[in-house]
Amino acid sequence: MIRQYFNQAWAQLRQQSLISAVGIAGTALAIFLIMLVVMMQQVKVAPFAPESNRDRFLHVHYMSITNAAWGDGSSNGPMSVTTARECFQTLTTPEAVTIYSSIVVSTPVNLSGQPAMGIDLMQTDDVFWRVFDFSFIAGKPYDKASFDAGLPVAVVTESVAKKLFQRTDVEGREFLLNHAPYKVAGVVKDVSTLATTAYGQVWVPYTSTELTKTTWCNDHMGMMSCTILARDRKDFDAIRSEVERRKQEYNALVGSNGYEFIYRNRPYDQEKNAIAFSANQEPDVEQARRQRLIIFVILLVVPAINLSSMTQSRLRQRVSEIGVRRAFGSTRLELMGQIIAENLVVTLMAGLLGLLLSVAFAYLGNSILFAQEYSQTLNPPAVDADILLHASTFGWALLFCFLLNLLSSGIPAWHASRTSIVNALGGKMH
Amino acid sequence: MKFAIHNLRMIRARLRQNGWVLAEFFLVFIVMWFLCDSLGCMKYTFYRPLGVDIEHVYLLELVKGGESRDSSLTDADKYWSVLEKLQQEPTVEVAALCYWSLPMSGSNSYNSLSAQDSVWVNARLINTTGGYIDVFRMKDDARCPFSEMPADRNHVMLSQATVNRFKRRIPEFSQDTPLGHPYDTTLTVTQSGTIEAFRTYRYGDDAPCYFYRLDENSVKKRYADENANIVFRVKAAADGDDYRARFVREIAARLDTDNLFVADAVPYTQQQHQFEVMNGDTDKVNSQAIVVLFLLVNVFLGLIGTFWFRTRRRRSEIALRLAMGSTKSQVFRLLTGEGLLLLTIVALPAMLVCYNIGMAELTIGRTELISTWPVKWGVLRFLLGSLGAWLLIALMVMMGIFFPARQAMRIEPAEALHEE
Repeated sequence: MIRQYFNQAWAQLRQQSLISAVGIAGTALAIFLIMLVVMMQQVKVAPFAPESNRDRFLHVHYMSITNAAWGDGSSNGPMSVTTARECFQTLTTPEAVTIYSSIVVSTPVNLSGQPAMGIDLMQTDDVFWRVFDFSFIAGKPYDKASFDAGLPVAVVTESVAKKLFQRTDVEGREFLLNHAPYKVAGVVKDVSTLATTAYGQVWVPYTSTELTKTTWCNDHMGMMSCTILARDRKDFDAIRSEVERRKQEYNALVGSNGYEFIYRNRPYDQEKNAIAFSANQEPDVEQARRQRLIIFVILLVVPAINLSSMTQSRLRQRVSEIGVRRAFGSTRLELMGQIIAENLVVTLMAGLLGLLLSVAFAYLGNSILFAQEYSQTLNPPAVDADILLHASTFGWALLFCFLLNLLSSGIPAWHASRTSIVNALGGKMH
Repeated sequence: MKFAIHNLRMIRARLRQNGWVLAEFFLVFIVMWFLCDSLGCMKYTFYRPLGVDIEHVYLLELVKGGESRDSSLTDADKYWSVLEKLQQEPTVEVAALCYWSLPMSGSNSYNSLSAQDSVWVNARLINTTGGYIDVFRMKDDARCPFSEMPADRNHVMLSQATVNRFKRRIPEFSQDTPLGHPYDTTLTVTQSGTIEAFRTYRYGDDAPCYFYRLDENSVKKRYADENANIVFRVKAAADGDDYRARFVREIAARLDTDNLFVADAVPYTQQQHQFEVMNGDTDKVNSQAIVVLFLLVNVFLGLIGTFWFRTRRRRSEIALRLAMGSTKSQVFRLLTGEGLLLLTIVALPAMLVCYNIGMAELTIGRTELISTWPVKWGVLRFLLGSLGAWLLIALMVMMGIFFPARQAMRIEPAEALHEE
């Protein structure tokens, strides 16, 4: 049966090569664009190293605070280390909570006496290395003892090591970071800027710099963000209620100066955090999903209408064949099924073409597709194979192929199967 | 005219067969109108003059490194020292020091001042030294320039957009109207002048701002430990592609104060680009343009497909026409005319739907999709959008029907009728 569908579909394609080419081009284009949209969303949400635990993350990137004397006003931005520690590192439900600098800062590094180059610096604690999974090619990350002591040690990426030392086994070597001497503790593989939380080119303990001294609002706001790693996604509700409890306790403490923390429903999961833009507005996940749905509908329905009309026209020529089949006992449902299945063969072929095109485009046109706001000092947004070619990518592509096929051949198939046998044998559709 | 009516009759006779084409045109027209409207508004806003000039402007990137050698210096002392040294550089025309007050930046602060005690207007606070206006080539009144305004919190300069917002609610609002302080009701804030309209964001509207001037005293007293931004304008003759590298190599070392080091001088165009990317507008324009292209390609492919089959089915009809005296170009025009007429027929109900979508923006508020608010909704905007959509689709119609129509022209009447 399946072979028959294949043969018939193939024969049809060869008979009317131009129209078939048009049909395949249209389908491939539709799948191509749909997959681009899917990939742009996946890149924000699907797990890949070093953020392989994305589905267990809860982020607190920014914080908001108000004061009784400010009326409706609020101050929004990253928080101080004190706030992060008191409100989030004291939690007992999650597996780990890491505190790190809110943004990467372009910082000069060089060897003594040589010209400096700018790299993206991130300042973290020791828990950072447990929450994110980096691949170390030399050395190891700084541990709790080094962090507590505020030792000037650093983890650098492969590219930075090569640029500085012309080799990568540089554990223990010294260099100048911002005119201060640091020692290399470990070297990791380059990190794509698409890993928006963990990205950096050099990581140092924030206790080794003066970053934590930059605070405002009475040491409540500062330059830090934090990420919570839950043991399981199912713990999210428990974590949120513990966060809420801790917030009440801490607000009671800081309330003596009139301050009050407003969480705006933080912490956010990965999907919500990815669309969070400003610190003073809670992101609307439902609206983002609705928008994506509308885009998918447009991208599916318009080609479906095109393909429908072409399928309908093609079926006209097979009217007598349909009549013969019906005369020999084929049911309407069987007929519909056959037409849809034949179409499916073509759709899947075109879908595969579209998927390959979209993957190629994502690799080659990554700077167009994934516009990044950070300066690309040494690495542009590198797109890894495991980011794009996820099992879910194929699943989505397959789903959209099915939908497109159903939409485009459903109505013509139904219409064709309803022709009365006599009319069909006579070559008339109605 | 006769031709058009003839065509319309043919279309009516075969309305069922044209069903798919009509449905496709209807849907595509609506989406295209929306995209043409959105892209048109965004591009129009983008190309409108800004009122600020960021050419030859650089942002100084400063980093604090290592221990401070002179603990009596506050951050403000160090920043002020960098500013003074910078202003003495021969290649620098003018420099300014400001606190979270840069255009095209995500770091900002807002507050409200009131007029007549009840009308509050919220606007962005610009806390900066006098050189800011000249760095960005904004226009203030020559009779009361910003650089001579008293440097305290009781004197403010409004931007034109803020003045407009006040005037909308208080028609008699003028430069002499005293303003109320946000927190202390006993204080009045005097207006010392106005800054002419400017936009700080290429995709945005005129910026409402309150300008407060800072001098050495106020900087060192009020912002002792805060992080400041320093921007400067380079003399046009001295600027060039290599200025940034030269600056870091030669000038930066002269500016370093204590543990405050100059890391880079970033051209302001880069800051502008980063801000637009961060805001998502670059992405929006790109993705909308891609969807427009996608829809057009679909229309093109769909029409090739439909008219291909149509030409083949109507071979005998076309042959008959040719035999009865039609010229080949008339046959060509018959088919293309049919496509365009189908489009125009559908355009009218589709425009009705589009108009309702546009009106919905006013009633249900700004949605993410239709929020092209820098351009006011109006009939002209609606008509231009419709015209744009019609033209683009018509272009695709012509290209799509071209090949099947050429095939039709080549039909030999005798052969076709013979087959019949």
